[in-house]
Amino acid sequence: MSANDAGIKVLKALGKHADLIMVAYDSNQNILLETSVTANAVDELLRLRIALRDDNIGDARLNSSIKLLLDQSLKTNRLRMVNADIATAVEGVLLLAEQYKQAKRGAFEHDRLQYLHALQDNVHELCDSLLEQTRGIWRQIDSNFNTVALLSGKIALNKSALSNVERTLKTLDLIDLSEMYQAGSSDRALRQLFHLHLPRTIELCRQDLGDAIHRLNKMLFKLNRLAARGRLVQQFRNHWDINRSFEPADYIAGSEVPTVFNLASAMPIGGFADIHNPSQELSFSEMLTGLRKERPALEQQSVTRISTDIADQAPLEIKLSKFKMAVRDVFFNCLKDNKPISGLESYQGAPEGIDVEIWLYALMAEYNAMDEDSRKYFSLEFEGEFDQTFSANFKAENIILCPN
Amino acid sequence: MTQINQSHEFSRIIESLLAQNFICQYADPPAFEYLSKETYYRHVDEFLQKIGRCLRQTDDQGAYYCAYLYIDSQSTRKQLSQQFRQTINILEPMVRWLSLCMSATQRDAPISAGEVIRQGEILSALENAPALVDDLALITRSGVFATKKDRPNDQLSHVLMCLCEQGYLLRSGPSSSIYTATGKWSYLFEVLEFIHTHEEIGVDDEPSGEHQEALSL
Repeated sequence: MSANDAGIKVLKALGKHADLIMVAYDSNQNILLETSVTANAVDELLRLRIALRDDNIGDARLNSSIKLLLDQSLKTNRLRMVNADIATAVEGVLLLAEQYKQAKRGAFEHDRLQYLHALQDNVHELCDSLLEQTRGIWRQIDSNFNTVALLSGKIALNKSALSNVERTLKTLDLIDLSEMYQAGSSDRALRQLFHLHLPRTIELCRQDLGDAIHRLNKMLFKLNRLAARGRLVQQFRNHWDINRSFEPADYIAGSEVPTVFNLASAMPIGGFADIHNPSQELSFSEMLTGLRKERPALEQQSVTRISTDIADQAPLEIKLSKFKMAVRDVFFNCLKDNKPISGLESYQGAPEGIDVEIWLYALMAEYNAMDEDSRKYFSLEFEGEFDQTFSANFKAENIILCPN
Repeated sequence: MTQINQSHEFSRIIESLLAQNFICQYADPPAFEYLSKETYYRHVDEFLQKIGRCLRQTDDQGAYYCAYLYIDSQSTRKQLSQQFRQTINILEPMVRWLSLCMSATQRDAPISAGEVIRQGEILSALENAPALVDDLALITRSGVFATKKDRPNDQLSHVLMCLCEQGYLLRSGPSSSIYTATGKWSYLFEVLEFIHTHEEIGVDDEPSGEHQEALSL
């Protein structure tokens, strides 16, 4: 939000809540009437700093600058004693306190209230004035005197702000708090003002101004250094303009190298482990421990899907060997002719190079390997004789394939 | 900051310092913040001391850099000598550049860490001041900013690029014309201040007419 927009917002708020502000102004205490109806309005006025919440009293009261504006506009004849001179303001406050106490002693209730309200106004205005001076200095500091571009201007403003702070601090020193304390000790309302509100504000101002001095000195140091650097640049430039061949002396050649020229060259980063050095053992152990702590990277596993769709596969054609075909032909012929076939006789149909025993075994294997449905069409008989010595041993010399 | 992050930051800072970088709050804010803490500063310094180096800060405490712990060997002295030669060689063009910037921006303060430099601002000043164009041409004629380019805009871009490469400026973006000055300028001014003190620069020097013209812009 621009400053223009913010200003318009404040002025609109003043107009919007004019009734509430005037009630507070007329009440002589400047305290805003806080009810459930006016709560939002008071909040807005507080937010815009048109009103201030006094922690001690707890009420929201009009900012003294607003009251001053109304005083000037309405030409109100108030007992307004605060001005730029804090010492005079303090004097006025003490005078009012004395008047208040006299009215109280004389039981002049109306006068007592009038003096009290005037006193409260003046103390609050004095406090506001002190706080505003402090805020003004901090506003300058926070903006880094940015309204001025030139360094020399900034330095001048900084020095001016410093002297302002020092002057304000000296003025604060002039406020005799013990006198105030004494003046307020006999009355509760005065105690509130002189024992709490005013001392607390003065202390706050002192702290803020102390911080401001520190900050201003720091800024002034930086600004002076920048100014010195600026002069340095111009002096060097002038020097080179006049002495084109100027070259500084070799400061490294001396026995003592100036600190400013001690700038380490870039060091290539790398190294190797001296594994035979026992003093390095601890470091290596730590490294190894660290390595073990690292979890191995997960392997990248990929799965290739295998199709299980049988319908897509072409029917397999198993090519039978000549030997197998010859063996099968024997079985086919047996069924075809419907008569027994001797294994030795059928050997003539075996492929060339096949031994007769292999042939006979092949016939037996084919018979044994048949499923039950096929085997029931055949039976296998063995021709031979029992051994004469070992009569349990039957020595087959031929096999006969018979159709059932 | 976790232990792993601390360890990572520590090694990153060590590598940066050993690569002769200046660590400032503009060039490397996390590292600068790390070193601003006393404990971490000590850790880094102790590590560097084990390899014959140490951690230093510029006088204005705006930048950290790496220095030699002892200058007792011939090789160290030789490296320092080379380093010194490089620094001395860039002084004149740097001073002329600083002076040009001050004249172009009509300010009485030279570039300092954190300052924003706008190429457009300098260029528009060059368009209205032939003396500054001559100054720029002189800067780019030889030395660290030497270039064969003859247009002021190109020469200016070249100088700014060189300053970025040497760690004096940071470019806001790859194609940006806005630059931020780093803490390395503080070191340069320390060198200038030292030479100024020891060589009595500026005692008898009178500003030249050319210079006056440039300043009056």
